[in-house]
Amino acid sequence: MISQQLHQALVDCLGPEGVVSERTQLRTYEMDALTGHRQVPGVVVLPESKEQVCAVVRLCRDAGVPIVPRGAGTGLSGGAMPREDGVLIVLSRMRRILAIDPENQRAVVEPGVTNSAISQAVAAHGLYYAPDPSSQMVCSIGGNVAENSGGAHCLKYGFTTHHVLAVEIVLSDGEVVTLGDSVLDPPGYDLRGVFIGSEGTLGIATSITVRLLRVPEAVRTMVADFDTPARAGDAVTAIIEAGIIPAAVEMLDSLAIEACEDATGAGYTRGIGAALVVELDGPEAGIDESLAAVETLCRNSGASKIRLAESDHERALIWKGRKAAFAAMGRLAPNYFVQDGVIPRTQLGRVLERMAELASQAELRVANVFHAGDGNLHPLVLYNGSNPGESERAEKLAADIAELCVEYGGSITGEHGVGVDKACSMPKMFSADDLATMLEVRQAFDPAGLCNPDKVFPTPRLCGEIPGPYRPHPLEEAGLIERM
Amino acid sequence: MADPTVPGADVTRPTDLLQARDVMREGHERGAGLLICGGTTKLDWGRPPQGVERIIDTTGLDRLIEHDPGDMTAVVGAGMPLGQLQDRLATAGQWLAIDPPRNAPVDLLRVLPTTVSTRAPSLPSLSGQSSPDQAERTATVGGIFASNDSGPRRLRYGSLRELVIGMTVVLPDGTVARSGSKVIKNVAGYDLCKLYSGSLGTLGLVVELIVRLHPLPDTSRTVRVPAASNSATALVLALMASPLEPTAVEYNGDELFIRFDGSDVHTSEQSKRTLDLVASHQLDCALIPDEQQAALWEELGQAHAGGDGKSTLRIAALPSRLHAVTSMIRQVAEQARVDVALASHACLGLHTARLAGGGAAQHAALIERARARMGEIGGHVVVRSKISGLDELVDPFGPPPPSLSIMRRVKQRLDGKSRCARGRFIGGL
Repeated sequence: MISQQLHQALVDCLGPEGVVSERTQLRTYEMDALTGHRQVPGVVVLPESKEQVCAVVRLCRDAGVPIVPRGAGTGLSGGAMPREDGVLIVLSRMRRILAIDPENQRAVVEPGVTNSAISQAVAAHGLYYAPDPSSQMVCSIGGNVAENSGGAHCLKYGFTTHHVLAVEIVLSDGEVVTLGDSVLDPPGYDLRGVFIGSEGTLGIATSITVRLLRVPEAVRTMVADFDTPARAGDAVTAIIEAGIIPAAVEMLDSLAIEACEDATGAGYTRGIGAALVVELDGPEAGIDESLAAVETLCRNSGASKIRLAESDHERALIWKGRKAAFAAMGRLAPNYFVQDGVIPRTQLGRVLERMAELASQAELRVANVFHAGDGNLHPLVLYNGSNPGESERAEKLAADIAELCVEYGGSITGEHGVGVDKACSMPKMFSADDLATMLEVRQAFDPAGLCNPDKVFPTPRLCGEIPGPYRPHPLEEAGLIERM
Repeated sequence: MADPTVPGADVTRPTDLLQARDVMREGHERGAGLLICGGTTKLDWGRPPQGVERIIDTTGLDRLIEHDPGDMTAVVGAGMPLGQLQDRLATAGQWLAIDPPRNAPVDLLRVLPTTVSTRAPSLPSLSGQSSPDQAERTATVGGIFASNDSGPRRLRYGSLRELVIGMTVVLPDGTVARSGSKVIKNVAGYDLCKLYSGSLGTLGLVVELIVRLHPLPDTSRTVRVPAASNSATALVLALMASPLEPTAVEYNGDELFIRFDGSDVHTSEQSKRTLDLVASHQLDCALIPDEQQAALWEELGQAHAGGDGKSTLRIAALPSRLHAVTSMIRQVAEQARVDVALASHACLGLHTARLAGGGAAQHAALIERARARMGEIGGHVVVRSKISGLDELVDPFGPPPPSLSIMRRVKQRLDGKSRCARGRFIGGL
């Protein structure tokens, strides 16, 4: 689907080693970590510099061909799903660390640098890069910027948007601009803040200035056992209301505990309703007092057993168990869909109840692991793809769960992004006017609409002519706005 | 919607979203110019807006719509004064963790010299009995958001930009658009809240904000360190490299103030270790007595306030440039023969220079010299409050960034008729 002329121009520009066009090789790029959606790209390019990215983008602009940026391909929402008629721009060869300023705790890196490589590069200075998505060993900072990635520790430290000060981008017309600055509050609109989390639809990041944090002096990790997730949820609310902001608060339900124990033997108690992992970090002074307070609050909420990690090894094991949750699901079922909805923390009990009802109606099992501190659920809808109709039922259940979160005042996605996966659910969360306003901003960056089309926003191509059943916007119900 | 009690004056004060939408939509066809104001305390920030036919007073949108203490979030009307909001939240032991300085209200006639001055009233005579007297106006949550103003404790909590998680805005054509949600963690759709923070009311009327709250800290402790700017800089960098977690670090040119908030154990341990760190730098220091802390932080915060017959500059540089910025400001102040008081959020690299004495020409000369020097220091100078006459002499924003072309297209897309504070923003947007 890519013209011979464009193909030749790309080869002229990047050399034959920078262009992938052989069918079997192209298939390597047909999906990201959302494996249910596949599309072999028209062509793949592997630029090594900003100049090469610009040149490729200009060629695509002139040919009117869509571009899809891709980092490490670990995205869970299909944000890097290629187009058959498009050029997939893979940024993994741009992996230089351009500058480190330990005094001011900043670094400038290329988009293909992995999340954990930043921390490794600055570790000698006692610094690290805070956002820590589970895929941090392989995922790229460019992808993190596109998705506004979070991670287990973002309750205390915030998301990518709080740690990226500036982004140099290539617009779809080939122009290079820097959004933001290494100093705070550059004059003008905060386009940096709009770009982060825009899922590759506004341009391609070619260099990223990040803020670094000092490695915390002390860390304490504990696991508390509860009868039900709702009780564990009460404990989380009590902890945060008490003014303690843990570095991380993670929850696993009974099904997830089973799978994680089978896979890792991390020491979670089998048979309980929920395990709550609470990690505190910060200065050594006062951390044990905070830990004791957390313990009391957990017991007050009905914790039956509390285990404190006695060594770094034990802490690592607890996290290994938690982080292996997705992979461990293979022990429970051949396939699963992962969802990423967010709810107000206090609604946890009710939402889990409704989720269980939905699951039983669909005759499917749902395991739950989640970032309990910020209400970010990761329900894992288990199914067997070889049973006729089961995968469709599971996909529908997953979408229903995401939309349930909206009903409770939350979001369809907390960190995985909308991509192609949830684009058709966007009208559940936003009115036509909300989405139209976002599209105006998109037009300002990418008037030709060539940058990662068919992502984030519902389109007839993705969702059929009517993008999902329309639910009246609350303002519309209140008679305040009309449907456009 | 024109106020019937003020003949000829086109000032409106919507009290709910529906009214706000109608007010915005009215006159859209002919491109009627708008100026949105709340507490009016930063009305002179940016360039003077052009062609203003209608002033929208947001102080009627002043309800705390929801406060969910368990989830630590609140939905608040943009026109609610920050002080009122804090009082309400404090009853649940919470606060919106921002502490911007309080500026005096700005006279509308100063900001709107030509356009409506003959018929614009000053705000106290506005419709509605509950409309606050202008002299009593204070910064609203929406105004602080639109100006992205912040205070000392931004070091720990971020600015309001980082605490706003959702927003309802009315575009000039009456379109009501929301973004974000009531949950802290959310990546669905573009984060338009960021676009509106610091936009000085040039992209539409922010009607409601959803904010993340924090618990009020139990205790605070503050360490005072007398230090010249070069040793202060070294100490600031040592603090940043240490495991200490200060909530605010302020420098006034002579003394550094390091504040800790949290539990008693935490603040007492942290301040003790700070004393050790300071001693290792061969500097003197003292713990501020508890009863003096509130007044001290009031004073340190207000050192960043504008108005009051002064011009105010916001200078941003890297934290390591504290000494460089301090010396530079002293030199340019001397050259321009203007008295300058500098207050610095030292770990953030944000500085406020308050210019007193001298006329607009002297202030302008100082600003130009400072901008020229920032080339080598790294950073920028933005003019906030201004004495009369300064607007004609300097661009408050300085040289526009390369991304101005995108900013222009964003403005064009969201306010195609350039109705909202026309010309007020960077590059005349």
